[in-house]
Amino acid sequence: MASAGKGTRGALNLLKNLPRVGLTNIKALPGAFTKAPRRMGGKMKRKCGRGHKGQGQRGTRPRLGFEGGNTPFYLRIPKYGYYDDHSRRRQYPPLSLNRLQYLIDMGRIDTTQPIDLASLTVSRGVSINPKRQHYGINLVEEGADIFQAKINIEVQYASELAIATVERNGGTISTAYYDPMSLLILCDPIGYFAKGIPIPKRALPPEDLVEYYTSAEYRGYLSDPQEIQKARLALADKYGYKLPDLSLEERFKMLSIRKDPRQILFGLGTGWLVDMNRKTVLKPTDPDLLEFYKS
Amino acid sequence: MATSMAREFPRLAFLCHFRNLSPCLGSSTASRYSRTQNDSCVQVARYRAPPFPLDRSRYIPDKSDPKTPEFQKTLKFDRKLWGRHGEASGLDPSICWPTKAELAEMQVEERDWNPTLQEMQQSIAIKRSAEESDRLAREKRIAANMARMPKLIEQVYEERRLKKEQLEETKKSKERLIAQARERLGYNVHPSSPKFVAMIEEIENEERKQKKKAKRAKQEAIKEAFKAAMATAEAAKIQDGATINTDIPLKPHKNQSDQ
Repeated sequence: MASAGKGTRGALNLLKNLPRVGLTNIKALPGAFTKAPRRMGGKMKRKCGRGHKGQGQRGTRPRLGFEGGNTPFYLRIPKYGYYDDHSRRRQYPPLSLNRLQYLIDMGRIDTTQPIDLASLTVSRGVSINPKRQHYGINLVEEGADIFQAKINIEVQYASELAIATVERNGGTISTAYYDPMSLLILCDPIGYFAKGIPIPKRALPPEDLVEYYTSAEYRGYLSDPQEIQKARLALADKYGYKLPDLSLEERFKMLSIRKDPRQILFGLGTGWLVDMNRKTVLKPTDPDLLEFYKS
Repeated sequence: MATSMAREFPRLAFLCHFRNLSPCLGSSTASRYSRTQNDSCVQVARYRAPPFPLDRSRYIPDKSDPKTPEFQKTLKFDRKLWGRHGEASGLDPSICWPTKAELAEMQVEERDWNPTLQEMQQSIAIKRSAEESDRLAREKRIAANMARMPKLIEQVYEERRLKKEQLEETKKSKERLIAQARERLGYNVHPSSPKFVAMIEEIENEERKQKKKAKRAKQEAIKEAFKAAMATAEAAKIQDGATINTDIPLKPHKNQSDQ
């Protein structure tokens, strides 16, 4: 060490010459950390901390919460308030704009075609389990500042900022309802075609969702398109961006493709049957069936 | 584009046969020449789903054979066969669509469990209007009550004040009575002693008598005044053209003559 003198000069010299403090050159004070003592010696019984006989030593204790057979506390106490029917509520697993941008950048999603839950599921961009109270995906704002893609996307729930982000980038977004049966078909169409049942009608949303899907603020699929246009302008006003004119787009036709409210898959109508081997589609001709299957 | 898609995603190749369709199912259809926003991206990650096991085993059961299990002779199984193998199953595709009975059931179910959009919107409108009217009624009630608040507050203070005054008054009157008793009886009487009570009774009687006397005197005074007025009127009648004094206060009689 260079001239470690006494007093202030010595201290200053140290400061000048010692290396920068980092994790590699500091040490805890003695007594800061204690090691767990090894259980060795004549005093410790030779049972390895398991106790003496019984379920504890033999490792046959029942599951946590079990009370010997009577209804345990965690099943006895009813749920109320916030936890009412929590296992039966609709769930919309989130899809962030971050993830969507990642999928687009990686080429896993084709932005030249409308994006719906089917394309996201089949490309394994999202994982949805329709058998577990999942009713679709929820477009979440995480990544709104870096999102930069022109897409036509259909989700089941979207927050205001997510809608604004998509529209600001020159895309379109719509929210649509799929009942659990339709969602199964949407997420695994080929598994459904193998059952030999014609494509059913998509059901209308339940009463508590009708207001959501008929509102233009959330770009619902049952809302008035003119109201949607007004809402687009209003949103652009609110968030302070200039709404791009879609009619000047070369992809305008693609961006304005929307499914019929009773349609589940793009390009396939209700009551149609798909022959996967011959790669053909069969349509019904019976007038009763046609009457039933049209919306 | 369709053929390249068919090559890359054989599972979805059937979609290419549709007339006016853009293959939107499973669109991880970004080609080698990536069409993402960023055109300089050459590396493209593609997910190729494993092919659906369609032709694994094309077993069409023999319905006439008694050895085939019962479930393989049902309509449901036939539909599944058709779904997996299509035309190659040799079955008539019309079995896949619902029969007349099934269709009738589906229609009944739809009618019972799926209300129309208009019906739902109507019930929602009714609910909302009821909520609105409840809210308005509540707000009106609150506003009216708030308007009454200053008065009510005043009332409370007033009541408190009056109560206080009353208490003080009773206290004072009691003290007065005790003083009177002391004067009359000459020593300190306890308010609960019988002498005191008797004394109070005496005082009350005296007061009552006084009041009665005053009342009678007043009534007689009025009677006198009335008689005088009548007399003057009579006198005035005799002389023609005399002015009558009509300034006499005439009160309604209360059986004065009977008293």
